[in-house]
Amino acid sequence: MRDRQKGESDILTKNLVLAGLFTALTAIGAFIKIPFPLVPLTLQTLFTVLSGVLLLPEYAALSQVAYLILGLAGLPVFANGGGIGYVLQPTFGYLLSLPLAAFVVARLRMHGKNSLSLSGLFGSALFGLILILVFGDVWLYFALKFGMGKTVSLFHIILVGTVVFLPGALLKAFLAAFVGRSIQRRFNT
Amino acid sequence: MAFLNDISLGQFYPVDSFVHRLDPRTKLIAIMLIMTGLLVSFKTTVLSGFLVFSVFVVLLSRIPMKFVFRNLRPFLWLFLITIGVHLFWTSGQVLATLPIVNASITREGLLMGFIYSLRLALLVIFAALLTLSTSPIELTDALEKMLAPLKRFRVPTHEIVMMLTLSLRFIPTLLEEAERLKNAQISRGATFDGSVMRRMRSIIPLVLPLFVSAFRRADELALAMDSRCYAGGEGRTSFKRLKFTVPDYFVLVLSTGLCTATILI
Repeated sequence: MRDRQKGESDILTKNLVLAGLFTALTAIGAFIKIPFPLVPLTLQTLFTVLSGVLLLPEYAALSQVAYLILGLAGLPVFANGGGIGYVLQPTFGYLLSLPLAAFVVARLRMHGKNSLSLSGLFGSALFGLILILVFGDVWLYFALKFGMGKTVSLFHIILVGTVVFLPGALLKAFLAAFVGRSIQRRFNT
Repeated sequence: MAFLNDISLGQFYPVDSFVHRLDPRTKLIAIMLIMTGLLVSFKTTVLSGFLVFSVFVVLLSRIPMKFVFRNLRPFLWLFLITIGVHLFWTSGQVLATLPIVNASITREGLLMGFIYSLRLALLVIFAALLTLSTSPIELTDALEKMLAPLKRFRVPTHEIVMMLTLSLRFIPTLLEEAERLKNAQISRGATFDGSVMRRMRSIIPLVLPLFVSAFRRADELALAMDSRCYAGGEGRTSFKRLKFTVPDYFVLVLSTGLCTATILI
């Protein structure tokens, strides 16, 4: 973390508390399921990308790291409970990608000139969501190959693991951009 | 979502026992050592030794067996896949052959499938024991102490642990708030069933106010922390001090011995 200077400290405290809030929201989001064609939609990754939309990059990533620690330490915050044993699940890659996605979203949206533009936020959020899916798919491929000695074509996994979730991702990216912008305006984070 | 309500307790099963009284750091280190031992052992004799040991620890912790074994349920399909994969894809003495697919079950496959699943089950059981006997606050305290050396590499350990503690506080509040907002919408005639589009639209008047109130709460909390001169982890002391005692050293020596013994065998 960067060194604190005068006047900067209260901004950092605010980011710290908000990061804690996003850790909690990500945990709750895993359990909010909305019925949607093909696969049910959970709000978990929505909160992950929202943390990127609203926080500084380091804090966005840390909020997700904290979520992972919470789950790995055994609190039932993952979709199927929690515990260190979760690392052994072949689908752990989707969780592992959350900090990276939050960081990338925050970086991307700060890159543009106008960090409040709806299309800019939408683009960064969508990129983050696709990153989660692809990272998780690649992890799943290697977990199946080396963990269980089963080779499935990577193309197949990406096809099933990403394309099916794309409509949901588009919707979530739009929600993240829309909600993120109205909260940014109201609270001036 | 009902079980999330008591998340501030997690799975913690509060009784007074030898395992509960241990320093949380001891438990974390011991679990890691035992897991390392488990990951290198492939022999049935060693694994059955671990099985007996795990039953002994469960009895010592005075946590009912069913609470511990409940943790195995999410892994059920993984056990089945593991056994299945080894059953049919290991060469050796053929026990039976399935007629249509021409796959044969071998003695070695049966044994390997059993060993791999037993190992996985033991890993899950030991991990469950840690969280059943340690409250989340104790765990975060222990994590902060143990992660402290990482500060040298500019890892913000204090910030991460603070986020953990804050989120433990936020989760029950957010759930309560969501319940209140839901009831408020229902009392105004909102319904949460119907077609997909309708359900999606009914989510928005729930999520937006939840966000606004959560942000206001976070804002106030940050202000309260700043006005009490919160300035990060530097020089911060804690109300509850962790201290190693004789049983802690005993457990540490025992688990180190167990780990080295399994590696050497």
